[in-house]
Amino acid sequence: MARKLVDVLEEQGMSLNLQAGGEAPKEMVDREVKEGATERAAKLKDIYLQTLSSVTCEFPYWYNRVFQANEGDIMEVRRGRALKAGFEHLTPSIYPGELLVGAKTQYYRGSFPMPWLSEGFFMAKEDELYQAALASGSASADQVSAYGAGGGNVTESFGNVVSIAGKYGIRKDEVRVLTKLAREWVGKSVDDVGHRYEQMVPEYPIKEAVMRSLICMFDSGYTLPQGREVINYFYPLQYGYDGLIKMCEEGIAETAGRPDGDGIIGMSRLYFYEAVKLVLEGIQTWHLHYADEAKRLAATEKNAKQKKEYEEIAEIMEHIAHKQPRNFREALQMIYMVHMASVNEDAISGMSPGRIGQVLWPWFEQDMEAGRITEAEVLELLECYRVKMTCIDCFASMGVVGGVLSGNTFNNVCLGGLTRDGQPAANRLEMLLLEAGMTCQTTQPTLSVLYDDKLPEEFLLKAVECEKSGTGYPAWMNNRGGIEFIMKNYGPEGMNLEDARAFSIGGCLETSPGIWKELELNGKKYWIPGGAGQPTSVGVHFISNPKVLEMVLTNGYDRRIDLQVLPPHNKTFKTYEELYEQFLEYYDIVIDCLVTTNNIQHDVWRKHNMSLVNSFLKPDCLAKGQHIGNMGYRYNATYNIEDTGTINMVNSLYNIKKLVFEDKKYTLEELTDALINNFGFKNADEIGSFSLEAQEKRDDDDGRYDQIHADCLRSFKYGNDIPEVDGILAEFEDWYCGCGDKYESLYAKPFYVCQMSVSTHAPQGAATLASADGRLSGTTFADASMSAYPGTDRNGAYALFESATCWDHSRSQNSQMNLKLHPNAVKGIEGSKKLLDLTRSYMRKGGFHIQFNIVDSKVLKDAQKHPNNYRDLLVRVAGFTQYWVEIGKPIQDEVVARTEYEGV
Amino acid sequence: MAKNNHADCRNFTPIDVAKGICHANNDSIILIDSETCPMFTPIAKCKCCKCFIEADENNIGICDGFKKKDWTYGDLKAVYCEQFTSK
Repeated sequence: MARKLVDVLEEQGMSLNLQAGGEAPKEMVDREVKEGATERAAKLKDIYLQTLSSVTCEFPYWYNRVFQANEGDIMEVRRGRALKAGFEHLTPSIYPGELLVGAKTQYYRGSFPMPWLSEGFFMAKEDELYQAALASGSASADQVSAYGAGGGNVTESFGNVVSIAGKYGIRKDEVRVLTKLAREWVGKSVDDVGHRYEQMVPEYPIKEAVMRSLICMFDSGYTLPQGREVINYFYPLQYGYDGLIKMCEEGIAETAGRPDGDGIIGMSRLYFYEAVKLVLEGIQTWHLHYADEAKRLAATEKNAKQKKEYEEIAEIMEHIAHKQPRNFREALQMIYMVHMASVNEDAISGMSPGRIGQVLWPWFEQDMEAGRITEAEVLELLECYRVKMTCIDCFASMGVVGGVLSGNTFNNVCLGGLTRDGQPAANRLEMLLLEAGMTCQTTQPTLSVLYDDKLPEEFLLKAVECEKSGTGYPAWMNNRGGIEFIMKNYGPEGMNLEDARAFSIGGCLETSPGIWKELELNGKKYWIPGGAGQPTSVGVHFISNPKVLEMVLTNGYDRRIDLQVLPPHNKTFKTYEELYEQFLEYYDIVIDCLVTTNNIQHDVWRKHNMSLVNSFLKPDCLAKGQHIGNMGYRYNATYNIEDTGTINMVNSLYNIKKLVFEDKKYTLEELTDALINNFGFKNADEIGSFSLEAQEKRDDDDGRYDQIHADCLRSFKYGNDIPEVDGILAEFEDWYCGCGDKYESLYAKPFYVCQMSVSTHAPQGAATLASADGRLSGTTFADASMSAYPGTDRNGAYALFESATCWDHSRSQNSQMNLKLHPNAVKGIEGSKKLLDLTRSYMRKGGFHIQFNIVDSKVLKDAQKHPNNYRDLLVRVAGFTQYWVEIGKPIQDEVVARTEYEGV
Repeated sequence: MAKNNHADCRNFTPIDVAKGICHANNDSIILIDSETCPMFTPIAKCKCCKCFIEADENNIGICDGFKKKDWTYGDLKAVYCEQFTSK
């Protein structure tokens, strides 16, 4: 029988304890807070839970056809016509019981490919998909009922459905359509054109090797070019679509033929206004088609209540297709449709609604005062909104959707924070958003509290109550820290304190700039916040810190893929400082080649695939007459450098410093040899588990690495308030937080850093040798950026906080900390207060972000064994909440392994 | 010509690639490829349109309904196609 790591440790007198602060009870403990949704929302959610992730070619067909038909026209206008055609030909679907209608496609949980961004995957898989389409007809359609594990993922083909990469289902009749569409973009997509030009960058060969080795996870220019930002709903909410079309017509009249002093892009304003006008017309028609569909259904509906609801939908959609919404329901329906329009114009994840409790406040306040709506009705609408947002799927490459996003779309709703004049911004509607998050537990929108000491206790305790329901939301972000970051980063573009207070979180935890706009409703004026910056998490992402360190030890050579990735340094390190210097040198080489090549990709994107929907939404495009690519947005310094595996790198550097250079117990060559040989263990994928505790020794292992492995494991680790280790983190952060200043995005703005793992700690861990902290080859890195490696934080949460805040978090766009708590640790009202105190303590120390998984690890282990019993089990991964059954095994293993706090 | 399925019916609202809701049968959820019923009412698709010509074995053909001809596919819904003309 193979020896497992736990056996080896036992022999060394060590244990791998994944519990801290006590011992969990033997029996499984369920989450404490449980509430149910309204009957309506529960039914709609139930449909979602039975729904397969589905792909259709309807939108891309019309986009492609009209784009091709307008060859020779100005690119903005050509794209405007194509998007217009896409929206106008989308077949609307309305489901019984819905109060809010609309979707990306005709399916409940639909999405579609955009070969104009990237078509390579379909070309590479053309034959495979076609063969699957031919073969699938022989299987029974009833097999659909077999899809329990995997949730809505179409993990394999069945009946007349073909699986695309184990995630999406497509009707077999559309497979040929998909590949035919893709073929039309060969050599023309953003991916292909960008690739043609990025090869002209002198450092391109290094970039190519860096991507192959998975030092970096993915390109950004053609994968998810927009997102991780905060949308802005102000313009349609204030002016209605008729008003926006009128603005465009006025813009055309004012700018046609007039550069107005701008000899480079002054003339482009005409084309922008014309393109936006076209898209707006398409969006209006799309709304009106929903009205038509509702009328059609009403005409044949026998149930009087349902018939009335269809008629109401028709009236609402007809009104908001043209005008400012008149009431809360119309406003909510409008922002939902705006959101769908936004995510249909590009491959987008993390287009976050932002502070909608404050955006929708004018309608809520006036409806409540006039007695037009009750809180119970608002709650039901918000539950419906949750289901609709959860239905958003993003079709992007598998590496991105599976490996990075875990299928999540990161629509973050923020609560709390401060108003424009510095007062607590939490309101009654936000309390209802929290309540809906508890009663209708779904992955979207995820919730985040912009924590500020000024926020009322009642609101904060409500947020804690939501947290205890086990949803993993709200996450807690430091409002003051966020404002500081915004001021520093966007000050050069004119940011002031008032507008800094309008910031919100885009994606999982990307701090994004906003502004306040004055909205008038029935003669009363309100300041509402909204996004005003370009996409974030574009540029360089994600750099694997442990992999860069591995390159230092292997002289730039990747043994996994047998490739010289980075130029050999050929150095013998006499001191730790020399080794660390080389680490930074390699880091700079990696960033540099990724900056220049991704700049080219994004430049191609802005020339060929510029945003029009988000450009008419975001200030100040409509005023300037310029889209995002021409820096129409207020804030443009949003490109960032993201990393992963920070804590494994810190622990590894500490061990190298201590064991090799200070104690001289091992030579660097001996340590490197142990790492290359994985301390005598098998690789994680050989045994099919990616957490440390499950790893097994190789059959031919002779124990020669046992001592060095034990020393690596038993040394000091980050997360225990040990200055020697934390000092290494502080030194790295001091360098890292300033490293972006010397790089320039295509918008001629400096980069900044972003620190969160999303799901990259799994695939990038899988591509990394064993590390000097004792982690084994192929296993997942520590999650997030400030979480301790599982089982290594042994001095309690407050010691972990001390370690995490040894550097200034406001110098980074974010940091990320996940804590897993046993439900008993926060039981009852006393437990709630303890959880709030814990959160508050971290915020006051300057931690930027913390989120909690309140779950018994035994439940997760049971869910791995019996996934069919846990279709709606939610867990917090790293900045997002996801259905357990829809995340990959490496991440499941990592969440199971996280240290479980039995008390706080 | 391929046999009609529920996705070809006007009474059917698709949920996903395998199933949908039949409005003619009390909004029940049914599989797309299960047998259709006597209430079947064709929905506008390219394959039902006069402009759809020269379809190949994959049901991909030519649409000559617009100023510029282009390819299309039989299963494309044409409910909101401005040139749809029922065969």
